[in-house]
Amino acid sequence: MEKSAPTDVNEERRAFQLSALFETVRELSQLREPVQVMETFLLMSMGSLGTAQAVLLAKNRQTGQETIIPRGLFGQQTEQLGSALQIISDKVIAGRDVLPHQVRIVVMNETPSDVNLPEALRIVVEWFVDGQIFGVLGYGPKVSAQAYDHDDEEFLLRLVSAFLDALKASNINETIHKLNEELRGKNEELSQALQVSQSTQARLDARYFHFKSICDTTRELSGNLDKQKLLSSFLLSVMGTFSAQQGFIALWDRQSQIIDPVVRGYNPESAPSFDIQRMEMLFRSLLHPPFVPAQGEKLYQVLDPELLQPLEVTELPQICAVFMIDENYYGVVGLGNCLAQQEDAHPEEELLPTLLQSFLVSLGNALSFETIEKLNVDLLQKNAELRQTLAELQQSRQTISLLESASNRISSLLQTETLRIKRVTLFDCLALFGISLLLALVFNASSPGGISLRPETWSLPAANSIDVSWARLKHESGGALFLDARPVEFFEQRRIAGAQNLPLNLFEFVYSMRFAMLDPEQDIVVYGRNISRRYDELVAAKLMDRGMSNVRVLDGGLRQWQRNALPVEP
Amino acid sequence: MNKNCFTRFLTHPYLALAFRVYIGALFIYASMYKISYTAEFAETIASYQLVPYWAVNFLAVFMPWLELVCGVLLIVGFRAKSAVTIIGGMLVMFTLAVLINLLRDSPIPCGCFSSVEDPISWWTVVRDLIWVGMTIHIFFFDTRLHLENHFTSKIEKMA
Repeated sequence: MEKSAPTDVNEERRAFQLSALFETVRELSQLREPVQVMETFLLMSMGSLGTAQAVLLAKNRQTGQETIIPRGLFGQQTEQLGSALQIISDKVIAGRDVLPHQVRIVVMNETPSDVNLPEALRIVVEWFVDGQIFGVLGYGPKVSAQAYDHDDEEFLLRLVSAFLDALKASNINETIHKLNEELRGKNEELSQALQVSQSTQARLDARYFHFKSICDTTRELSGNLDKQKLLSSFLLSVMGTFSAQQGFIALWDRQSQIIDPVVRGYNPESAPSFDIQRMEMLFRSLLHPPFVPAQGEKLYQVLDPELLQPLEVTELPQICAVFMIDENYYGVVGLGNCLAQQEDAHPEEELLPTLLQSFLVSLGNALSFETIEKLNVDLLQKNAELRQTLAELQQSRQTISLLESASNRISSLLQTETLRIKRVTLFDCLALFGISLLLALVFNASSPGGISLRPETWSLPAANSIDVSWARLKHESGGALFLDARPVEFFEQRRIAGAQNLPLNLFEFVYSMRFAMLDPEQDIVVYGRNISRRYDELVAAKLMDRGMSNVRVLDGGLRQWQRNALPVEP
Repeated sequence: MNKNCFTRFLTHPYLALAFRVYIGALFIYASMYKISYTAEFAETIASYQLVPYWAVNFLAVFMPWLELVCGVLLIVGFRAKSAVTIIGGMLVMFTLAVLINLLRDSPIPCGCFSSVEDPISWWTVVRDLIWVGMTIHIFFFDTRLHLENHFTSKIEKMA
């Protein structure tokens, strides 16, 4: 019986311990937060062990959370608990004798070796869930003042092991909870982001549509250099972009006072008409003279349709804008009866200016091209004129060079001629001779005092001649009359001795005076000739004409006579 | 200074003009008689005994007209250089003829202006030489009052 009593006590105690263990496990399994687990475990383990003092120190390295739960300890006993926790923390960090899920009873029924722990503690247990969660568990003496035995040690080990499991589970739970919380937060963020992305997508779609419209319009307008086609094309494009059923555009050339209107989708009776006065009124109301915006200002403006009142259109458009190229070109564009217009969007505020900008560039190009074409036509005309002028100039130049060469030739000819005039030339001398000869011959032929150019002796019959030796005999015998036919001066200068003078120039006078009575049969010897005159032959001929039959001419004349040394006088 | 003045006087164009008028008039005057009395002039030529008998009449007809034409052209100043050259040539020829006949001691009149003149003498030679000198002066220094200058100056301006 004595043996069975302690056995029963032990079994009861074991049953109590098992029951306490079961209760503790069940209780801990219902808890989710580690702190609750710790607090509950500490209280339940104190009850199970039968002590009124206990302390639980725990540290979670992952979260950095330190938990100190003292029970039944007060004042100075709890002051150093933080340091005790630090010591075990250092031990874990150092990695000494630490294993996962380890429980180590370091003090049993003794005062703790660690000075930081309260002295009242009789059991100190170091526990490690893993390298991250660890701590120290301390219990004071039993209320019953009994020492802790081996059963208590085993029971404590089991309790702490269950505590470790529960703590681990609670930690996992907490982690899962945190993860859930984070996930929820992320989900919320994601849904917000989705909403943002959806709105962004919507805006992007709108932008894409705008961009596509601008691209299409720009592509359609670019390269189009005809003003009328450009206006029509732009109107169609913006009507398509804004889903407008009606639209008009008008370009006013202020310098030429011409309006180019394009109207689409209006009934003939309600179609807007434009005139210069109304356009001027509109732009006077919008701009101030000289109708040019200051530098940097836009050349277009989206208007409130009410501002188009000066145009007096029947149906005011829904969207309208005015624009200008320069101080000469102004325009107005209007769109009406738009089918799909978003409530919260103001397309005319964003899209229309961009389209207008693109249109103005193309229109500016078209107008510039028109100007360039006009200038080109002018230039071609000027070129043709210039070419003609050049051709004329070249022709004139050729003519001038021809005239210059002719003038040079004439001038050189004139100079040569002038110089020739001032010189003695053979030609001049021959010309003078020729003129003189001509005049002389004409005058001589026509004048009564003219003389024959032919010597008279050539037409006379040849006279009988006598040589000097015969003449000498006749002279010596005195049988012949010697007549000197030369002029009296020569006769007086030198003559044949005894000769008489019958000069040719005084023949008639001297003959009649001195020789008229001569016997016709008388021998007469006539002499006297020189290089220039045949006096002897002429006088002999005249004597023969007078009937003298024996007239002879002395051969060689006086010169031959003298050569033969015959008598002369004086 | 005086030498320069003398030289300028001797070479003055107006002196040449005076000589030109004088010689021209002299030849015109001389030619008048010879043209009117061709036969007598032929005798004068013959009296010099320098021209062959067949050329005497031709010269008597031709030479007075040459004198007249040259004299007129010399005075009006048309082809004056050529005219004075011919006149100078004729004077040289006359001088030589007179000289030859003086050396021959031919008792002939000069026959320059008429057939009835004093016989030729050394004075005749000197006179002819003076006239030759005048023609040389005219040839080199005569530039004024030429009829052809009136035209050539215009032509020169045009050229």
